[in-house]
Amino acid sequence: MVDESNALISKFLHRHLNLLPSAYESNDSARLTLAYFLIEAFGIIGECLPQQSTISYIDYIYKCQLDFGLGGGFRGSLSINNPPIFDPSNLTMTYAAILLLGLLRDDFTRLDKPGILKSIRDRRHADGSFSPTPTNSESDIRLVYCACATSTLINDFSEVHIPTTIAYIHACRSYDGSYAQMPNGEGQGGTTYCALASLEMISQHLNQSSTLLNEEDVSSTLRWLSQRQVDGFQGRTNKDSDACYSFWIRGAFNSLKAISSLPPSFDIFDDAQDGNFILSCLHPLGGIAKYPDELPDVLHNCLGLSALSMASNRVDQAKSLKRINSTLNVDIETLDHIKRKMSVR
Amino acid sequence: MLYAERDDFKDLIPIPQDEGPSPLAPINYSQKCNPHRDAMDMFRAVVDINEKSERALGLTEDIIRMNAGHYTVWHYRTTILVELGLDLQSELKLMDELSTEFLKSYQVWHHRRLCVGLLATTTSPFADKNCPAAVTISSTPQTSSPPPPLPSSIDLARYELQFIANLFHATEDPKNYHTWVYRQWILTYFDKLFQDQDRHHELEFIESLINDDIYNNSVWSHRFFCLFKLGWLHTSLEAEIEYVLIKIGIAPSNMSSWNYLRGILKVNRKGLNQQRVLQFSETLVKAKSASDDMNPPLPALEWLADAALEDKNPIATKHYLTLKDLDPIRRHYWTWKSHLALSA
Repeated sequence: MVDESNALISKFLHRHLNLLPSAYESNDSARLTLAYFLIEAFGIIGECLPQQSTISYIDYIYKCQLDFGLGGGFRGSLSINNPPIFDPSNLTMTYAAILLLGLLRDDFTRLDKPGILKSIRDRRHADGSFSPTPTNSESDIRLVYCACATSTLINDFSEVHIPTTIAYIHACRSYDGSYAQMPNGEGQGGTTYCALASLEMISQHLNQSSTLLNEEDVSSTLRWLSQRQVDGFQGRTNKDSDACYSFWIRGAFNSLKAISSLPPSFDIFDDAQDGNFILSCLHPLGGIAKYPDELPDVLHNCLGLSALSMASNRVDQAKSLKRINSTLNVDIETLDHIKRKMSVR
Repeated sequence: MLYAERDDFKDLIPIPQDEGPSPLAPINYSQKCNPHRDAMDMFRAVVDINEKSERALGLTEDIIRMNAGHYTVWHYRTTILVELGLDLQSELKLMDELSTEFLKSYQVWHHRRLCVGLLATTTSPFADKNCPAAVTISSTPQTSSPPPPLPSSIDLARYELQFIANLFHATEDPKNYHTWVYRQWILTYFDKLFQDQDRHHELEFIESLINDDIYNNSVWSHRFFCLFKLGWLHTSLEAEIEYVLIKIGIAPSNMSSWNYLRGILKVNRKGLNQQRVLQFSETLVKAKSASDDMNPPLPALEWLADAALEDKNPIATKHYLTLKDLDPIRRHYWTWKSHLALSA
């Protein structure tokens, strides 16, 4: 990004990290995801946090961890300090917590890996899907993604039952080549990303790439992804563009390439138009919004930056952004750090 | 009035949020008498002594109205309802209001589903406190889907379908994702109870939404679900193709109906080389190309190109190169397709 936009984004991030506006009140139980969007954005613009704060943030995150005896995994905040029977860990928060710890360069010595594995097992359904908490029967492809991502990050897939999970992902496939939140639903950009990224992580784990999707499926998914660009990207057919879909669709495309015979250098998008759209969502006081002239929020800001980073070969203003791994949505340096630390555990 | 000052809660001492010395991304609850913070402080006190009571139920409702995404509070509410054996009909009434107000909350729809699952599996839910509910809130997710609905619950299913239909109109949001997911759950769960008249109603409902907005992809997806997943197609595939072609005639560039057409062929294991569709597409392409300032509808040209590619017919390359010129934002995609056609 040019210095000016970088400085604006940085101001937005500091302002929000210090104190989130009261509009975020309803996300109190999901604070770790908000923190992840903020700190990942710092990572993408290449700004380091002062060491004093990283130490105390790491402490806070570990306070959200429940040990094996309490079910394992991470809660989203310390909002409910009651016994975990009513406030168990949440799979999405566990995934966000590990990425956050990596972003803050923690050494993971305090990570309760058996607890995390137990928490994945307790959220697994017979059909291959997962729930956010064991007390919640809601289950869908977003949680499949969180289970696969967590397993990838801790380098242990033992609690994902791979054949049923693959079958569940295939069941979410829609007639137009996209993937829905659950079987038989309407395909959508975010859920298509979750499905393809999960397949990619599973195929990496199995060490086989080309057997999860047949050629015809690859071709119709590719067609659906290419149709989503309007200037930026829309999430569904005939909807308006929204900055977060620049990330979801690009990420889905990367994962599709990884599990098919499509060449890694292959590109189907108009990066310049997408870049212009995302930058038009940049608020004059900093932060990227969903649409132009909207108020920015931490999710769209992070995903907008991630997308810009993925388009940075052809978007001048994005040249200084750090490279990201779109499958886990984290910058490459952080992912290397996590892999290094997890391999010695 | 704040919970901290209420007479009916004065036996409890609110427990403030303890975030430690340096919280990560704290939220600004700046107001001194913040009602959300006040209610949450009392909620912690209630949970601390595991109180399941009517006043605790009211407290969860207040919090949900301020924070509909708070899954912990929702779960606590569910356990109160089940343990006290409270009237689920009135809970469903409350959900009518809350699902309208918090249309985009995952939790509100999930809770509604729990209520309907409970109501559908027992003749008098919770009338007898000694008789446990048919569905309990299980600690492992494997066992949490409700058993089959009782035949008497057909009215409940019909009520739900009507409620959602009204909601689409009331909220003017007939593309709302949560609502469609929920409607499809109702249709799946009660599938065996539905009669021909119900299926007929559903198809009329779909038709009315397509007429309201032919570009609404959610309705096309729902049509596919009913006809080809639930297996409601009572005419022939040919008749359904004719139906789609009429709709494409109204909006020739509408990708929703073209994708639907591809989908129904694929699910019936048929390729794109259908004489009827090829003729139709050619007519559309020629009619538009004949007038000077109008481009042919791209999906029609794409159909001809993809069908030719499927047949290894070299004309595909020419079509893809035309598409590349007409649709520059996707030029890389069309170039790639043209290379595939060349090497086919």
